[in-house]
Amino acid sequence: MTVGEMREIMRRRVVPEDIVPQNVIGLLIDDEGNAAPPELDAFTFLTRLRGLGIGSADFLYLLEGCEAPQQVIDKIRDNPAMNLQGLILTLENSELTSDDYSRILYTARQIWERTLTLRLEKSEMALNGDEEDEDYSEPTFEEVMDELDHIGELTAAEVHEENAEEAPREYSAETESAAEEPAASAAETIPTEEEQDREYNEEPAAELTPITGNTEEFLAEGGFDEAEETEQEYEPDEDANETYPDEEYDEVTEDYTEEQPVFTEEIEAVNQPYNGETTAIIQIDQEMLKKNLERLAEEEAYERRAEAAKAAAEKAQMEARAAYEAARAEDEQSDDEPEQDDGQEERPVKTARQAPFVVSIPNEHPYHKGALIAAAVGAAVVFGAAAGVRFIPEVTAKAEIKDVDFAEDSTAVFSEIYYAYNDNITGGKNAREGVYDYNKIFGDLLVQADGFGTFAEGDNVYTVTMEAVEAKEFKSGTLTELSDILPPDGTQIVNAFEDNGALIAVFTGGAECGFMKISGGTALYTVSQDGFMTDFDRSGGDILLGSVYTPKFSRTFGIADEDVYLPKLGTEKKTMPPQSVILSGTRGYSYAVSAAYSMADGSVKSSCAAIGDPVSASADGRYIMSGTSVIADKDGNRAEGGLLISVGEEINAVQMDVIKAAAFFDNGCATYENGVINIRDENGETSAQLTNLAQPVTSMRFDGSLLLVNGESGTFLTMDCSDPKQPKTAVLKSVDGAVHGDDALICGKAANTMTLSHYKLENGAASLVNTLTKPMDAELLNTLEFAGINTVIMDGVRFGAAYRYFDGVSVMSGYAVMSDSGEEYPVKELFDDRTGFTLAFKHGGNIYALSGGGIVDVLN
Amino acid sequence: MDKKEYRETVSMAANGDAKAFSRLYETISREMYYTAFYSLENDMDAIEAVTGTIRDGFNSINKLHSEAAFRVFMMKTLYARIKMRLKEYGGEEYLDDEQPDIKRRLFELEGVDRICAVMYIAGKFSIEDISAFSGLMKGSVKKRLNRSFDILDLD
Repeated sequence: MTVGEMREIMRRRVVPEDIVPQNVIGLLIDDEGNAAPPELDAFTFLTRLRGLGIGSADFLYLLEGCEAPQQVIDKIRDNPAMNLQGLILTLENSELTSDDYSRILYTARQIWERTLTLRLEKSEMALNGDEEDEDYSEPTFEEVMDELDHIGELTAAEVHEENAEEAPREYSAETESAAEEPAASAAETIPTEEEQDREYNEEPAAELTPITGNTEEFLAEGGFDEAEETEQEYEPDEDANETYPDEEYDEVTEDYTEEQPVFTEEIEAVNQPYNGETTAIIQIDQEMLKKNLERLAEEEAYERRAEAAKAAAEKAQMEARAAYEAARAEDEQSDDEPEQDDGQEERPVKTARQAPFVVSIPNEHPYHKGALIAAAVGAAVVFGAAAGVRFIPEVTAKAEIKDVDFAEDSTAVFSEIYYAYNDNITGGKNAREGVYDYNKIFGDLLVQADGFGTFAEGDNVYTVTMEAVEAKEFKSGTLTELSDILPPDGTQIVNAFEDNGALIAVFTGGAECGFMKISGGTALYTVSQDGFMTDFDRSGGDILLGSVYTPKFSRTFGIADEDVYLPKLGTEKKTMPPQSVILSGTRGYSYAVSAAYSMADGSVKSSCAAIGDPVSASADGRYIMSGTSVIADKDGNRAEGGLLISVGEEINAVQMDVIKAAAFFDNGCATYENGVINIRDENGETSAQLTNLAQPVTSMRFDGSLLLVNGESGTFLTMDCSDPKQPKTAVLKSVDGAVHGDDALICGKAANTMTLSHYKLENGAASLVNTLTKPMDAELLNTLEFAGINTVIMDGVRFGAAYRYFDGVSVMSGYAVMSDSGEEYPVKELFDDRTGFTLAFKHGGNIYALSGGGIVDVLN
Repeated sequence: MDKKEYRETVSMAANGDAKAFSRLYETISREMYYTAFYSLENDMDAIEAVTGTIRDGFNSINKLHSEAAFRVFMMKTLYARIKMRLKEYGGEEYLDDEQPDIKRRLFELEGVDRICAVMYIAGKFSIEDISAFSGLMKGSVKKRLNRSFDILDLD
């Protein structure tokens, strides 16, 4: 029997009536016919609040009124730039419970309902001529609050009851229709004019739009998917443990006999629920009423603060500009003139050339307020700190340690591990596995793709995704599937490129990284290196990998068991020689590993590692160790703190502060220390600082010389560090297309035109070479879709891609090609093809594309 | 169900709309039942595992912001419930005469192997999916499937 046959038999089973979808509704509804409302979480809470038109100031006021923890209120108030995700995290990490959310929502709904009532009453009065003033005026906040007096008569139980109802019940048809809006369309982005004009809002309702906009953007990007995925519990591979029976190893200390979890996740203690019981709403509203006057005064103060902030921001910008100009002038003169004191007493004076360039975003700066808006508008744009740039000259910390030692033999390495293990200091906890996707940065373009593309080699065609390389064979006009070439278990493919006709697929996972060379429809070899990848590079015919590796000891071992405690690498995963391990103290038994491999045969050309508490390893032998390292040089000098170790002709070590995140690039590295990002040159000297960051940094990475800084909400800052002394904000434009070496093909839309643009990378910038255009009505353009990276052909001579659109009658699938000189080939079009073009490849000088109807010769 | 439709349906379900939840459940209902039925001794146990999972899903729907997250949540919960029930069997599994022959063959497999095999065969889930649902490493899922296919004598 085959799997398919068995599946067919199994799926013949009829699903019992009790659990067919139509009947489960009964399961979910209680005896009274009411579905139990699920517990509110922060996201739903904020969405519903937004639906009620609650502005940021009212939100804070409600939190205060409902006795939310002061630190939460302060945090939100002090961070007006906090985005939706930050807000959700803040609320989720607070002691606020679902009951508290319900209570706040209840109060918010009361405010909203009373506003509508008063508005109606006022408009009726105006219509009846009861009011002398002809100008219609919105109900004031005081009026609304006065109307809320009776809320105290409600019991706590009624709060829940009323909260469960989505629309108010007591109003006229007009009111009801308006009342349904927030409930029915909680995620709607644009508030009505009426909502915007509401007087009781300290800030206009429009101010809230970014929150929702951000929400939508966040959802559109599937932001929660990742969060959900990260919740997956890690379970060790049971089978893996089976291969190391404890009985076989009885040496060394007893401590090694038990498996110690190496990746012990630090889970923050969950605080006791805040106000688990709902307090009487009367207290809240009385307090709200009492605070009403206070609040008005606060509003005025807030406005004054905002004005002052604006003025301060403008001043800061002017100062920044002046400082920048002055520094530039000084820099230009410094070659000829002696250094002069500029009168800044508090700060040590250095020449501009020596002084680190500091990009600082003052708290009061509009960037912080504008960040939400920028995020909402720029759904497809990764943005960095756009303003508040200024110089703050500062002296770089002096390096104290200039030399470190390689281990003489395995005993030295073992000894380090032994003491670290006994002290239960694992190390490597600040090292973070990278987050990978198919997107690539090309100059100022963020090229979004849905795979790594299609590669052709003779009769073989490969399509590469993170999961596998799918090998196919094209013979006699037929494309046949050969096999799926999978990366090692627990890893995913993160990069793929051609090398001399063969395909190189780079992979990484929690325990190992490496690459496969694929040719002739099969993997010729697989190189593997212990640890997850922290850096990757190509140099000539070599591939260089940097990784951070924490051994998982699952059995006892002794000095002789090098395969247990030393990193392994290469096609046969051999143990590194202990003499290539740098000893950086006893503060951890994790390794920063870097090695170079020949792409021709996968042989190891060089390898090096540093043991201790690594944050990151570069591909070319530079290691950043976190703040717990202790290092001793040959003379016995010892120092604690973060370290940058560079292995060149000699080993150079630079002491740093506690390092929480790090990334390497050709000209140096970036380290996140004490809430500041230091851009360091090749000697480890700080050349620039990025300060006053909008949120804590969780990880960083370089794409070329572009630094991408990630926080809890994803990438929040992008800086161009091509000149490490003067990093600049980089704003990336998001586009669909593909990148192939120094070429990129971008699919886009212009006014009544579909475009395929060929860009070339020149001096780090995307430079447009040619554009193929196809006139298309706006209506058709709305339905236009790029058919995906697997349909892109870029061989340096021809550039083509497939697309599809609906012309009102049929689904049109097209394949357009242009030459490197911009000459356009006739477009190949299909009508109502089942799949459209899904793949394209070169073969024998032609371009073939796979469609639902079979293979299409694109050029003939 | 596209993203927009899913979001709207989740929003409705999160507000207590059981009908909306049933629409979400519909996307995975058959796979859930097959997994439970062929992994557990009898229909009653399977229905109990599925209904429990449905209730869990309904209570947590406001935290599941994508269809993928919903699918993973439901199948993870079901997997955990099936494992719990298997534990209650205490290693002594009993199939009554009414159970189909194909289920008897499946009961030659060890509990977790059986769940993985059922998910793969009847549920049409991929190895990656099963790994996500069960928390087992992909390699471990593969090994279990290979072992199961050998025992079941499947080609």
